[in-house]
Amino acid sequence: METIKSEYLDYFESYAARHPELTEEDIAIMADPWDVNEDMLLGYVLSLLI
Amino acid sequence: MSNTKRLLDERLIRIEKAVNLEKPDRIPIFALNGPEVAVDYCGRHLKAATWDLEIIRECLPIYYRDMKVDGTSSAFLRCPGTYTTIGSQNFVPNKDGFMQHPEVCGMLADEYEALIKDPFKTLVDKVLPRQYKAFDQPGMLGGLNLAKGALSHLRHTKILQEIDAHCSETVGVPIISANMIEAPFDFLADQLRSFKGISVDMHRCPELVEQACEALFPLLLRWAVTSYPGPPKKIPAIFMPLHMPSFLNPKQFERFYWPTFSRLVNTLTGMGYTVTLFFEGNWSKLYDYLGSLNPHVVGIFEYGELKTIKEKVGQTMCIMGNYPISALKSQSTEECLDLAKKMIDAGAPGGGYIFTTGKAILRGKGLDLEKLQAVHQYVIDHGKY
Repeated sequence: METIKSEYLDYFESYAARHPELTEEDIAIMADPWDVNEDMLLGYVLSLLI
Repeated sequence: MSNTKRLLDERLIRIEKAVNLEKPDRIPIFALNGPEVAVDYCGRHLKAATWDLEIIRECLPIYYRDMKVDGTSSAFLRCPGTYTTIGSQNFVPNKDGFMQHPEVCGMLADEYEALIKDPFKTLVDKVLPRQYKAFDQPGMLGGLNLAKGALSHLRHTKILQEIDAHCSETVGVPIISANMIEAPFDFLADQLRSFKGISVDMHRCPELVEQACEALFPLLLRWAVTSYPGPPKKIPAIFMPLHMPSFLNPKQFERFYWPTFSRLVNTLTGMGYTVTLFFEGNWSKLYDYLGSLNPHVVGIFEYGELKTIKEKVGQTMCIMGNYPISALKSQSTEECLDLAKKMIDAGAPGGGYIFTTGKAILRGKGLDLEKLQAVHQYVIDHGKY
């Protein structure tokens, strides 16, 4: 599933984009498409608005 | 195996068959209600229960047991402890503790472009501080209040999940509908632009409304998936109450509502989830659209002729709802049973039907719940296949 593109959500993909010093090996080790913290934050904000 | 576990399994099989458009041993009964009615039923005070969820834990299984239901939704309660802490404008408790939702506008018309560019940032920067005044405090205090709200939200969510498990373990009632999301247009209308605001926007800036729905779509899809307990399953279903369509004409529905709504439903069902749609209001002018949704959708219909609904969408959609709760107020027990018979005659043929009320039963006051018990017993006795 695609991550949400937002200045305020820091899924690993956007973190990696801001840190060019990370090597491909680093990214392979660190990449986590299911960032639980970011998804909890998304869920908290949306739940306040329904 | 304990009797409760056996009951739980039997009920799950009964409901799964109906959801799969098959004939179970008998028509399942779904409890469409909030925890508040259980508190009223047990003679407890609602305001106390919304602050002390142990009261909900005591009352809810008693209500489900006495009403003889086969399944229910996860307990959903807006806890004033969370909402008052963060200065809520959009959900406020009334005198006896029931949470009310006033007409509110959280996003101004000139903020559409920001929403389309970065919807999450705009929700946080613009909408939250308007709807929750405690977030709009200077310095670190606003951030601290956001954290307070999050901690309270997580705590209440955890307790409500424990109450769901408690109902399954003690009275064998499975949770067949879990996390709740909204269609993008409803999300935009309800608390961002308001009923009045969105009604004007559809005329003044229709392209922006379309683009805003598109921008919100990925957030709602991701939320649906990431808040679901575990990998995709048929049961529990993802619950989606549908608010605005009965206030839209078919042209508006087709242009603004249908594209992102149908894509959301079809994407989720394509991933292996079941989606329960609560068709609020009268959808009779829109039945032809619904027939084109993917299978694995359960529809709860508030109004409309059940026979027509069954004919129009029953080939692909498990049908629920439609029993008028007003009957429990104003009609005799015999008349309530006659209505149940009519519902069974219209909904049951061929399977794919679950008995429930057309509206969620929010409170016990003014309703004769003994009549609801009698109606459910009638369905159990006369709803065998």
